[in-house]
Amino acid sequence: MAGALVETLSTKKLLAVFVGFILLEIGFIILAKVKAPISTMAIVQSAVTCIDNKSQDWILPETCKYMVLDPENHQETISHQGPDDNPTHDPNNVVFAAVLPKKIVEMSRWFQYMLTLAVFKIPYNPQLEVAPDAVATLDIRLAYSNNKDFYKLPKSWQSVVNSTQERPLECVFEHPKTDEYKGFHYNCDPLFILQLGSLPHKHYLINIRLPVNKANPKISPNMKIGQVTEIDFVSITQTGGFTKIWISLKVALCTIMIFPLIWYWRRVTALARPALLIEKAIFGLALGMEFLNIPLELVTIFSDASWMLLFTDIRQGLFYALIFIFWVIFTGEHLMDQAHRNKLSSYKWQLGCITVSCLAFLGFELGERGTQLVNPTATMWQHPNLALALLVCGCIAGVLYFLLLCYLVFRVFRSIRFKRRFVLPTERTAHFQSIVNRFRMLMLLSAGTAGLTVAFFILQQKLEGMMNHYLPEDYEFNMASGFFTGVYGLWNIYVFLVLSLYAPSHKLYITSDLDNGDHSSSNGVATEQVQLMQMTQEKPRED
Amino acid sequence: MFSNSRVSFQFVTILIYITVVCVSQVNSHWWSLATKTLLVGSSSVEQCDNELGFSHSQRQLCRTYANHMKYVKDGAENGIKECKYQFRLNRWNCSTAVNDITVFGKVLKIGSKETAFTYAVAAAGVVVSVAQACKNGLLQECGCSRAPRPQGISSSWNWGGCGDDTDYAYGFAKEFIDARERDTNPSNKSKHKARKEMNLRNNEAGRLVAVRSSEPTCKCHGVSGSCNVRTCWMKLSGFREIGNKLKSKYNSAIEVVAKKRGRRQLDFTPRKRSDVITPTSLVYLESSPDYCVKNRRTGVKGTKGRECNVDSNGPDGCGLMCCGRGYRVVHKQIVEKCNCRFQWCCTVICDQCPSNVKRYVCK
Repeated sequence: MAGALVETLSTKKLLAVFVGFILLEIGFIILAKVKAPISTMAIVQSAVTCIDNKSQDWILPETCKYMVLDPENHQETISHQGPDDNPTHDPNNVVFAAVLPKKIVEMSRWFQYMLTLAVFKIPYNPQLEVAPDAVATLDIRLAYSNNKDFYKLPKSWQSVVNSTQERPLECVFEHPKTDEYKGFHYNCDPLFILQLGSLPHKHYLINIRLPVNKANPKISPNMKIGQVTEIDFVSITQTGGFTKIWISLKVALCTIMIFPLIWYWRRVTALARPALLIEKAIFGLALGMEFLNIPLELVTIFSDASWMLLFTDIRQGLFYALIFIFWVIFTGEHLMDQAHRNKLSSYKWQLGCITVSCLAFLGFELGERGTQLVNPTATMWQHPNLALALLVCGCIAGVLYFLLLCYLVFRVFRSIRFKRRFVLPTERTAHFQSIVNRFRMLMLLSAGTAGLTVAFFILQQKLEGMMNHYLPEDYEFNMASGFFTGVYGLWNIYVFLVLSLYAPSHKLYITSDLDNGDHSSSNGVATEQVQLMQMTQEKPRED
Repeated sequence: MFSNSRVSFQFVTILIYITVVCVSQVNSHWWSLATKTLLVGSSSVEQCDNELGFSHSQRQLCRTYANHMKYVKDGAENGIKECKYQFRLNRWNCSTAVNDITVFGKVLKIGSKETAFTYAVAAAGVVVSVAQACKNGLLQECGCSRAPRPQGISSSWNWGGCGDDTDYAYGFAKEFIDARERDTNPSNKSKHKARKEMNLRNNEAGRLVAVRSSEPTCKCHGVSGSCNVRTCWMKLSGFREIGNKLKSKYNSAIEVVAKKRGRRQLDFTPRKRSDVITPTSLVYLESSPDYCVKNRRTGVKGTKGRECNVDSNGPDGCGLMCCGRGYRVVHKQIVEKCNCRFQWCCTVICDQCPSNVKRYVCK
């Protein structure tokens, strides 16, 4: 690689650049802290329990016939044997209905997406416990309406989906299972109901039934789920304010980042030689960042783009892939072994790991959010083995990649130490030192950025934990928005620094022997072997 | 002569009316709402003024938040029900009198542990029922509209979503319930001041126990289900759980002594040095009256006629419950539902089982 800009900068200038960017980063966090509301919100609503005579109409919470599913009441009112024709005693006629959001407010396109969960309220009853392997079968119907009279007119609702789904019901009873605690509630995990990738309509209606087969109780679904008396719906959306801040941030970063991108590419093309692999990797990384920066989310405001959630995830995944590729190439190109350089094929193991990891996660995403484009109630966890296999596979490949990367970094440091002592003639030390510094600099930068990201993540979780101790005044305190804008700004700064500091320099243009070596080393394997042998021989003396 | 006596009769009626109103002002309580049927609609506002259980500010709040009163009533009802459940085995069984504006009778005039529990459980009841109403979308005020709402709760739906329902319920309950204590302006008698402070503290303890029994539940929903995006919400637990917590607070209630601090402020110091008062601890000023024997002066109903358990060593055992007076054995034949088979949702199939039972009743 040719002399990069970073080698020509003085320490003072470098420091100034760093301080400047740290201030900028603090700015990103403060922006969210001051301007943005909490990033996501959860609307908790109780479903109205309605009784309905198997009609195919939409059941509206306000106009339906209510019913109370209180086990104690039933014990008083119904006491008989034999077949039962009373429609109010047929579980198939019970509908849990809710209009999302609440009556007085409307959905906004700025909310971006909606993830709806159901929390079952099940009082403990020794005669009807929740089985440990209980599976809830849910008949989920979703409709939308933009009509003014949405609350009264079942005709104003248009169907989105009608699907029967099975969900494992995991409930824990935290008290001793004695008669004394009868009526205390199980603690049940929220069940996934549906996820919408965009919210183009004003009101959504959910109707849920828990069907049973009365004629054949042995094979009937929903026989092990205990006495469900109530269902709470939890709808998670992004807040409108956060979406606005987020899109503004993206517009700003997208415009700013285009300049260093063009500038970098012009520098690279201005060189007499073809672009090196590492230069291409840097450019790819910057392109990935810029692609992520494009405020495509704006499309959801103007049209029904439910694919946006999936697409944003893929964009994010692409950026991860490019940054991993960049790291491994950068490290590899600084391996001073004069072998296998400037060729993508020399990184086949690392690239293989990245590909496997990305494909696994992509498979999961397509299975989860891709299927949800067609059926919002579908989830990959319907097939837990496949979902787990994909995630585990993706994670293992990712971990393997990091191990390989760490090994590569270790090798670079070892070869640097080794060469400084024994191999290099004195006249080449200055150039060698600059390459070493260049490498160390990026190591520091990458480790710092990744470390800060992790630190932010931990901090956010910690502070959220503190928030949960419930202090009414501090309830508005919000870390998540600051975390998102902070991390996003951080990676933009990282890419910006890489672009500008590692651009080929015009000031000091050295076509060094090392760089020439890249192209001419046809016997690279042999050289490396010799060097490796040398290293192993030298090692005891080093220690 | 005749007309004269008529005038004086009217005069006396008015005088009695005034006395009744004034007296009931002192002893009456907002939770008397629990025993009444509420009107819905336009007349509900007028009802606020006729509501003898309300204090001056509570009437005003009732007019502003007329739609909340149903849930205040529900809350009071649930509170009383829970109180009866929690104390079903004790000498004082949270007994209430029908058509009594004070609901629990004179006994709450004593600043005892039991009084502390009653105030707390009623306050908790209001928090839970208002939060529930919010969650069901029945109250506009907590659903982010522009309608009037107690101070400190504001947010615009399209920007930052709505506040937490429990948060709103807590704020409303504080405003409404504490209004009664704020209205009373106790004379310089420090005894009354201390009682006011005790009520305020126990109200707050009840509300806080209700609010804090809500647990955060979180869901990760980032890329590939990772936790880089996580949303939490508060899940309010059932009222039975809250009642249980309050009962344990009752068991560890702290007896306090009021001390003046400055001209107006009062400070409570625990009588036992080892006790530490926290925002959720129940505090009381006087020791409980003897709940064994009926006493007109204190309003205690006594344990005569209460059922007891011969096998128990606890407070419901015949020895303790009957205060050593002994018990009678009553034989009863009852028909019980047994061998019940449940089915989701609505079917319970039971057999009828007659059985002879022995009941023990305090003399």
